[in-house]
Amino acid sequence: MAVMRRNILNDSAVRDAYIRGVKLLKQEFLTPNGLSTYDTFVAWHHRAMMRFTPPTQFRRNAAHVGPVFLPWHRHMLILFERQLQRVLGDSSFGLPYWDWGTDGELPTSQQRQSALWSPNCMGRDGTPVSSGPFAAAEWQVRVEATPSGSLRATQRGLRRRFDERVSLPTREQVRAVVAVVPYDGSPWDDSVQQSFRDLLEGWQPTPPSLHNLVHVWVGGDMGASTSPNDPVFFLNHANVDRIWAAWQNHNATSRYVPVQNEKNAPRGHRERDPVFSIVRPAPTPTDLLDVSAIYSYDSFEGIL
Amino acid sequence: MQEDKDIQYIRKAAQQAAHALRRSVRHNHMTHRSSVRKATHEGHRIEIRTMYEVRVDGRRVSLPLSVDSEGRVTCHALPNYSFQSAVDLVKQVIATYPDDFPKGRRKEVRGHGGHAS
Repeated sequence: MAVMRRNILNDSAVRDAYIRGVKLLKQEFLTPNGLSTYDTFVAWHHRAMMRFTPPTQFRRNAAHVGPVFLPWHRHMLILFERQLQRVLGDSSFGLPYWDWGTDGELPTSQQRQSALWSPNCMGRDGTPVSSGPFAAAEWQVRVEATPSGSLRATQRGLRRRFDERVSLPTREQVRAVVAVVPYDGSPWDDSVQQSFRDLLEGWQPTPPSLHNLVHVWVGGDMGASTSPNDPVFFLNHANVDRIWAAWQNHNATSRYVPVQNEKNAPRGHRERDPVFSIVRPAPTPTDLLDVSAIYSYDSFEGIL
Repeated sequence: MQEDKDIQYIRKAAQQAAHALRRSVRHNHMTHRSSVRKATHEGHRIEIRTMYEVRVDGRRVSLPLSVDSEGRVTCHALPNYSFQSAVDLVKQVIATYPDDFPKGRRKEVRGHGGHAS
C-alpha cells in the first residue's frame, strides 16, 4: 500500500518518527570498523558523485548535473524510506519533506528561525551542531569527503553554517520552474538552455538556485559530496522529489528524456539505463516515473 | 520482504565503503586536470586549456577545478556551487573543509606580496 509523505512541520508524529528512525539507522553497524546503514547511504551518494558519465569529462556524474538527477535521488529516497520503515517497524511510515519554498517567503534574516531548526526538530546550526537531536553528543559523522575527492573516516559532530548571504528559494521561483518544459535537453548537463531538471537542480538561471541553493544555505556538511551526513539532506530531497511529482502531474504529456536511442545522450542517463545503485536489480529512470504504488505527497500547495 | 533483501545489498555496500576508506589513506590525491574550452569564431577553431594549481599557506592543495565555456569555476569538493572566481571557490573550500586547513598552521610565504582578497 502506498504511504503518504507529509510536511515535517505539520505532523509532529512523523517528525519524531523520522528523527528516531535515522538514529536507529545510524546505530545499526554493518562493518567491523563501525560503518552503519545510515553511513552507507552517505558513502553511496559520494560514490555516485565521483562516477563521471562519461568518464572522459568531470562535470556530469551518475547522480547529478544530468537528466538522471531526479530519478537517482528518487531511488535513493525510496530505499532510505524502506529502511526507515524496517527499523521503525512501521510499513506505513512516509519520508517527510521540508517545504523550503514556504520558509523562503520569510525575510532572509528570519529564515533561520523556522520551526525546522527548533530543538525538537533538526536543531540549530553550529560547527559542530550543539543543540537538538543531532548535536555532537548524539550524532557523529563517520565518513566525509576530502577536498580532492576521496572518502575518509572521521569521528566528529555534524557541521552546519547557515549562509545568510543567500536566501532560500521562494514559492514563486518554484512555481516558475514547474511551468518549464521539456524535462531536459542536449547537451544534458548544466549548460542546457531550457530544462526543468536543470532549473530544479539549481544551475540556472543564476546558480546556486532551488535544490543547490538549499544545500548552500544550510552549509557545513550539506556543502560536500557527503551531504547526506546531515539528515536535512533527505528532507530537502523529498521536497525536490515533490516538486518533480507536481511537474509530472502538471505536465502529463511531457516525458522523461533522453530516450534510449537519443544520439549523443550520455550513458547512465537515458530512460532505460540502470541507475547507479547499491541494490540489484537497479531500476531505470522509466521504472521510477510512476511511484503511485509506493508513495504520494499530501499536498502540492505552494507548487501548483 | 523487500526491506530485508535491501539490507543484504546495503551490507555489501557498507563493506565496499569500508574498503574505500582504507584505500583513501594511501591514495588521497586526485590527478590535476585541465579544462578544455572549444569554440569557433570567424572560421577559426579556438581551444583553451586551463589547469589550476592551488596553494594555501604555501602548501599545494589537490583541488580538481574546472572552468566551463561561460567562465564558471566548479569543483566537486563543492558539488552545489559554481563561482565566477577561483579565489572565491577556494575560500569556500577552506570554510567547508576546516580540518584540511587548520588555523595556526599557516606557513609564512615570503616575497609574494601577501594573498588575494
